[in-house]
Order: sequence, then structure tokens, then C-alpha cells
Amino acid sequence: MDRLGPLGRKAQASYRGPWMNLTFKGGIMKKKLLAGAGLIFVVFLFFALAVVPPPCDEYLDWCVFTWCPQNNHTPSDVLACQTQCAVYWMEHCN
Amino acid sequence: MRTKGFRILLTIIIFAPCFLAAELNKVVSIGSNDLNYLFFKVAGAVLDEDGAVYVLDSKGFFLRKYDARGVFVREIGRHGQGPGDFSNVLSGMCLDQDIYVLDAGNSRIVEIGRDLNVRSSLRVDRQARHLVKMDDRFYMVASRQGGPFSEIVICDTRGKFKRTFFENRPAYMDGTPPAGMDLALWKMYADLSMAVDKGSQEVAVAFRYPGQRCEIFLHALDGRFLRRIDIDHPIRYDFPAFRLKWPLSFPGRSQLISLGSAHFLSPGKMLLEYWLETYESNRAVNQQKYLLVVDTASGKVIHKEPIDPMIEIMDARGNFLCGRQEDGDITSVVVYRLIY
Repeated sequence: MDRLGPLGRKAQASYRGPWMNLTFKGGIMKKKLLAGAGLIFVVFLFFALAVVPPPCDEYLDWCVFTWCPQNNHTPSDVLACQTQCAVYWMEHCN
Repeated sequence: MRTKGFRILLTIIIFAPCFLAAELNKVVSIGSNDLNYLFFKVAGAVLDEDGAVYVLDSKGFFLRKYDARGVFVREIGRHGQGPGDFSNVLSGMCLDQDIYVLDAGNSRIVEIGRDLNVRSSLRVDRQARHLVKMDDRFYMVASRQGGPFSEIVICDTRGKFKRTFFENRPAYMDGTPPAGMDLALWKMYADLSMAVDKGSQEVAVAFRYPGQRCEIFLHALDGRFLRRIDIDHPIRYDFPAFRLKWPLSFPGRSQLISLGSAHFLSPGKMLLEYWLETYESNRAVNQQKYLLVVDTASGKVIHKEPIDPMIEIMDARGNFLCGRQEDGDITSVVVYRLIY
């Protein structure tokens, strides 16, 4: 009657869903998947909260007139930042 | 002995007004490590008639209200696209009947009551900066299409584009605008400062990087040109032309004058943030910052106040100025009283 045997019964008791078929050593795979999902969530959260630069046609104006004056204080720092914006724009948008 | 003491007292009484005549007094300072008083990046700070201060933070994505004593009242905002959310509010805000926040990330102007309840949001199609609301119009600085120069854009209260004005260019930028990297340099140095006054119904526009002449162009609210005034530079100056040609070849020593924000203190009086920097090669070795009070009828500088370069003025109402001040790790929003 008991065709599963003691090992089969143990396996059946620890079976918690079809995705567990992916596991090889108990719940290690599950932990890895959860850790991966958590990492992806953190990365998404970081990018969602960061100020994302606009596309190329708006980039130079945004960087020169908005980003640099807000993130630098003295005119020399603002100009240095704006020059970097221009160099980046030349390299990536032209 | 008594006579000598009396003379000293008399001298103090006579000369005290001279020493007090020009001062920038701190009235209220807001900023500490307490969560309701902690700022990340102050993008705008405005002062209302009752002395309440509204602070917009572009990194914290919030708008806060403090009363006239600097006590926290309320906060709204978070990062997002929904009503009351902010995405990219680096371009700041202004105050009229309500508060208006230019949210470039969501391409809109958000109208918020002084009780910090969101009233409406208006879609804006043009990328612009420096928002000012006056009666039924919004004024913004924007780049002129297809070139390095900037202009003033007028939109109605529904955010619809009405017209642009200001076709001037700095005197040191003559000829056909260049292309490539030089175009970007022209764009940087052709930036504008703007201020709008309800009392005189004027829009003042100035080049951020003046040349030999430091000019303010005054316009009517509909954009009609009214007059131009010249302000005296405190030094003999011309714009360093090497800054417009890439790659930059810095001389041994050079100077750069720039204007920060511009504000009307009252009809006929303007406040300008005036920077004077001295460079040795490409390094700024001396930075001085002044607040200039200018008579808009004659262009005369009525008062010149040296200030800490770490103070940035963001709003002015009468003799009260509101700005941010960096002090180590702590950013404060400070209300000053300018006595001159």
C-alpha cells in the first residue's frame, strides 16, 4: 500500500508547490530566489527615487540650467558642472 | 570724568546709525537634524505676507510650511506622478495667491493652497525654468528654439503658451551662433535672470554673465520693452572671451562677474546677487559675493552689501529676504532683514 516509502513520504511532506521542483537542496533555491527578488526591488526603488536625466533633445538644457545650478553653489562650480554637461552631450547626443 | 563718559556716549549715539545703516540681520533660521527641520536640497523658499515660510525640497520631494517663528506647520509631497506628488522640482516655485511648483519631471505646474492642499495641476509643454506667477500669467525662462539664446515665455493660468519676448543677446556674442561644443558654451553664458514686480507691473531681465555693461531690461507685463538701465561694475571689466571657445585655454589670471537671482524689493528698487570671481588658470582663487540694491529709474547702485558666498537668496518681500544657507552638513532656510 505504502508505495512511497520513508524517503518518499518525507519528500511529499516538504513539497510546498510546483516551484519547489526547481530545488535541489531543500530550501536553498527558495532563499536565493527571495534574495534576488529583494535585490531587484531595491534596484528598482533606487532608480524610481533618483532624478532621472531626460532624453538627448532635452538633456543639455536640463543639465546646464537645472541640474548644475541646483547641485552646485559657486559660479565656478556651476560652470565646471555645465562644461561636463556639454562634454557628455557632445559625446552621447551628437 | 563724567564729561568724558558723556562724550563717549554721545559719540556712540551719533555714530551708531552709521554702523547699523547697512546690515543683513538674521530674523529666523530653520534647519536642524530634527526630521521636520532637516533639508536635503532646497530648490525654493518663499515668504508670504504673514512671515510664513514655504520650503520646497527637490531631493526630499516635499513642500513644507513653517510659521513666522520658524515652527513646522505641515508637509506634503512624495516622489511620484499622482496628485500632490513631485518628480523633478529642481526649477523651484513661486508664490502669488497660492503656491506654484514647477514640476519638470511631470511636465506640469502644481497649484497648492497656502494650507498646503493641492488645488490643481496645469500641463506645460515647454521645458522651462524659473517660474513666476503674476495675475493671470506665468512667466518662465526658456531656451529659444534651435539656438543658444534664452527668452521669456508667457503662459496663461491654464498652462497654455501665449507668447515669448526678449530677443537680446549679450554684446560679446556677435555673429552667427556656432555649432557643437561652442554652441553649448554660448548657451551656458547666455542664461538670464528674471524678476517680476506687481507694484510697478514690470518684468526685469538681465544676462547672468554681463559684459562691459551690466544691463537690466525692463518690460511691461505683456512683454513690451520699456527701457534699459546700466549698472556700474565695481571694477573695470569685460567678459573673458576665451570662455566661448572650446577647448578652453585659461590665461594666468582672469575674472568673471555673474549675477545670481534678481528680485524686486519694492517698485523702483531691485536686489541683485552679484558674484565677482578671480581665477588663476582654471582655479577660482577668490570669490566675493554682494547684494546690490539698484534704483530701477537711474540704474544707480543704492547699496552694496558683501555677504557670505554660502548664502543664496531665493525670495524677497520688502526688506525681508529668504534664502538657503549651507553651514557644514546642515542646510538652513533663513529669513534676513536687509537694513540700508
